Amino acid sequence: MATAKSSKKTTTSKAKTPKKTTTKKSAKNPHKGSTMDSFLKEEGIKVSSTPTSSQEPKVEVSIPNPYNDQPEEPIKPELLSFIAEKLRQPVDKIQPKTNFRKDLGADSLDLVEMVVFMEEKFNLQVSDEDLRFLSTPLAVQNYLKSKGVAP
Amino acid sequence: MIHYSQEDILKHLPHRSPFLFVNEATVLSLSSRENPVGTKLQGSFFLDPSLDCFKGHFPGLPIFPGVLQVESLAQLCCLVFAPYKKDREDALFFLLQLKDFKFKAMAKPSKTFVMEAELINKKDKVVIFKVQGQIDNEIICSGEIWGLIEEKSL
Repeated sequence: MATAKSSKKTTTSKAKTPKKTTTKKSAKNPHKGSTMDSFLKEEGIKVSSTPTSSQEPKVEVSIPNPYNDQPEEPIKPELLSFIAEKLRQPVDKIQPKTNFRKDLGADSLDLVEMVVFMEEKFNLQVSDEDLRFLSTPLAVQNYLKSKGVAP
Repeated sequence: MIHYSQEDILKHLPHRSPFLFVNEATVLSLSSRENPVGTKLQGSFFLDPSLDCFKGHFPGLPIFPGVLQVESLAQLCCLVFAPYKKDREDALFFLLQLKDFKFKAMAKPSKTFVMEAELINKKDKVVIFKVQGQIDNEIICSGEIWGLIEEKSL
């Protein structure tokens, strides 16, 4: 099953486009390479964050991340192992500001799985708003610190 | 106590015969629209011997397939949002994964498959249900169903 990309961390906006162009679907396999979001879009279901056509300029707006916009510091080995295990990645591939999505290819389900395990392990509740900020090991570490939990 | 008849269920689920596997449902525990975690439903589906699946699964040994047990439970999971929305267009549910799912006994025709589904966590659009299915008060399957909910007005 296709994975769901539902990040709200970045937003996209359309630049001036004189006419909206439509992309022709492949006659052989119209759903080839489609994700859950693009499937929902094709079915006319509104999603909060949809990928734009490659013909439309994409403008990424960076939203301040209170947990990641901090001086870089080493990640505690226990937390590093925990993240590596949950994201099925080697520990040496993970740096404090390694982005789970962009650098490790994690999808929404991977991140939710990691956060659900984190909730169980550290006995806390992560809100949807905070979930969006947990994009790097440093952000996770700072988040746990802010909740008084020592990773 | 909220009860959903077959007619009510058709208003909340997009599924139709021969792929509708919930006859009726009852809300056992209600939460809130803002935070539906904790909502629990019980539903049932009569395993009519005339169901198509029994013809081929298996000839001479009819068993309600495990994949259809999961589908039945997933349809009940869709109904967990029914108390908080107007109709089936308001929230669509897609399966993401099964976790720790076990099948413990066979489901044979002419029995009623009784299901329970509880929303135990919700993270953004990802919803996690603890589910179980019973026949004659014996748990025949249990586990977690993870899904994606696309909310329109929920």
